[in-house]
Amino acid sequence: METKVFKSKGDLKFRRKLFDLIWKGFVYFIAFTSILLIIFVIFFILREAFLLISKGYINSHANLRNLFSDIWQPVSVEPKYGVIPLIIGSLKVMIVATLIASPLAVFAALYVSVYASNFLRETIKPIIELIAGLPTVVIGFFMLMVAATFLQNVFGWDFRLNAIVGGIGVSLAIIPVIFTISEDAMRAIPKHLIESAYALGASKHHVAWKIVLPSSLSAVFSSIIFAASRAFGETMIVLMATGNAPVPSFDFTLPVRTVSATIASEMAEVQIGDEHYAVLFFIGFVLLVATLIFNLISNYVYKYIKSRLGV
Amino acid sequence: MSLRSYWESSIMGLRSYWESTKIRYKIGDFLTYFLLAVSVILIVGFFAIILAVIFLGGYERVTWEFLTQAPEHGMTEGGIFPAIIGTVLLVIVTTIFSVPLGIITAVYLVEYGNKESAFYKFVNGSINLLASIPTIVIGMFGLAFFVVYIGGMIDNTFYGGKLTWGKPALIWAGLTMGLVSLPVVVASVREALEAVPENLKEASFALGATKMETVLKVILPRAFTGVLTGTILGVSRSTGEVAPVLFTGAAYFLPYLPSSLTDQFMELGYHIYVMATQSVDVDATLPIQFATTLVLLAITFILNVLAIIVRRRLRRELYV
Repeated sequence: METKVFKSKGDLKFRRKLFDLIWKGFVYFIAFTSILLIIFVIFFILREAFLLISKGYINSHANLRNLFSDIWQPVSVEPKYGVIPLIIGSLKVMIVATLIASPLAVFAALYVSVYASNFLRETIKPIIELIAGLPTVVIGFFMLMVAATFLQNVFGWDFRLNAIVGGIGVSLAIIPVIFTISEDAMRAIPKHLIESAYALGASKHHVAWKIVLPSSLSAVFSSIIFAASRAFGETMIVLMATGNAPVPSFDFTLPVRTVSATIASEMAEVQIGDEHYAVLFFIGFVLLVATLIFNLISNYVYKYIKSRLGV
Repeated sequence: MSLRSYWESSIMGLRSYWESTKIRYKIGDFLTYFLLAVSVILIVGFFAIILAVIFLGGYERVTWEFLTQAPEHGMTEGGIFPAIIGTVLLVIVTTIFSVPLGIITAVYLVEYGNKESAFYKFVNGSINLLASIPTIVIGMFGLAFFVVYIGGMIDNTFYGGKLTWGKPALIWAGLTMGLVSLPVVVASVREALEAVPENLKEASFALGATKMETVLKVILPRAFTGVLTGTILGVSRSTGEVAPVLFTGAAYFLPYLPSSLTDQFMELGYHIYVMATQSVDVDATLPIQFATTLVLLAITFILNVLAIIVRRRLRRELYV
């Protein structure tokens, strides 16, 4: 009788161990799926872009000289697929958005970590979270319908929709990114640094500019670069609020067309597998690679500043 | 005493006053405070203006009829019922895919992965990368992978090449959107799992529980609020995003509601975009556009407020 009990207990233990092992395998498999997803994303974007070569489009309209020219006219008798104006467009929006967003977000983070009372901090941080949850299509709609006309009246631009209007909209979308990462880093600064500064008679602005900001510099810079990559690939706001004209110029008051907006607005019109389709996947791949490079730079900057300054 | 020396001495006096007292600090402090506070005010003000303008422009049109009727007369009249239903269905498909996947990935990252191993770094890097890939590229991937490749494969194998799954559809849009909300879910659940105290796990192991039992019966219940936050934020994200569904399932106008996973659907965000940029008469539909934007804004706003409240409660639980 007793041996039987022991035996069944042993069986139970075996079964539990087996389940545990199966569960562990399952968890590892699911974790592996996320790696697989990234590989699939890169592979399938490349696969469709590769149609350029496998279907011979690279020898007709979509030849290299055409691809890197400065005219984007995909729907015409003699289609032109120059990506330069699109990349310039994305860069223009990115520059405007980053220039507006980074000082505002970093200063706000400094305010929250040095000056703000507990109550203010607990009010500002959720508001920034709410901004992060704002759908980009809502920002785009606001910029298109309300802000564009207002800004044109104030600044007297020739074009209602331009890179600056788009950039202002995108800046609101990336402010939470910079703010959150910077504020996290500022909060992680050892308390004794700040307290010893106060003990030496430093005033709050000394602490802000000479201790808190320099100590979180690595996170601040890497978050700005990360946010810039967001701005570079942002779609709905620029699709609605930049005028969508592929102009190869660095005049910020002209309408622009970004890489992402081009894909968004033209993908619906193409036949799957045709030349235009392949070119769109090619510029999608360019966008993907640009994001990867931005990410690498962001990580590198973080590590570089950290190793150089020890902060 | 000459004027000159009087002048000099008063300058000296001012200077020593400047150097000896803290007025310098006070001015610097004031300027810094001013600059930083203005930044906060600008950010919050921009946000508040958007909320106010959309609310004032749209609240009159948001009635029960508006929420429960289909668009009429080329979308110049009627409501947004199909778009709301489409969004809800999309979010359901997305959540079924991304929440379990996100929870288990977070469990791997916190409980199983060896932080030094290459596999851990790859999984972690993949999730971070997924969060930073532009959503439009994810949409293209959805088109190339789900619609063209998987859908085409199903059609060729089971339907003899008849176009059934190989076209934009609710399921493909949901899965594509899942890729966008997955990192959001992982981040929240991960934060919650990391906050589970070590001694709880040790107590569970000491009672002879296996790791699976510990994860399912001790750690995950304890991290429930975090899982809830992650789900809410994931739902909010997939409600607000438009780019991933542009070519994987959203339709401009449908006279019927989607009835199966292979149907196309109308989506709130896409509806706003289309009406604002491609409608025949943008000005005539402007009130409807404001109202639709207000509905979308209200849904995501409420979801995010909910997430913040739940997370607050989580923090309070941790510290008590």
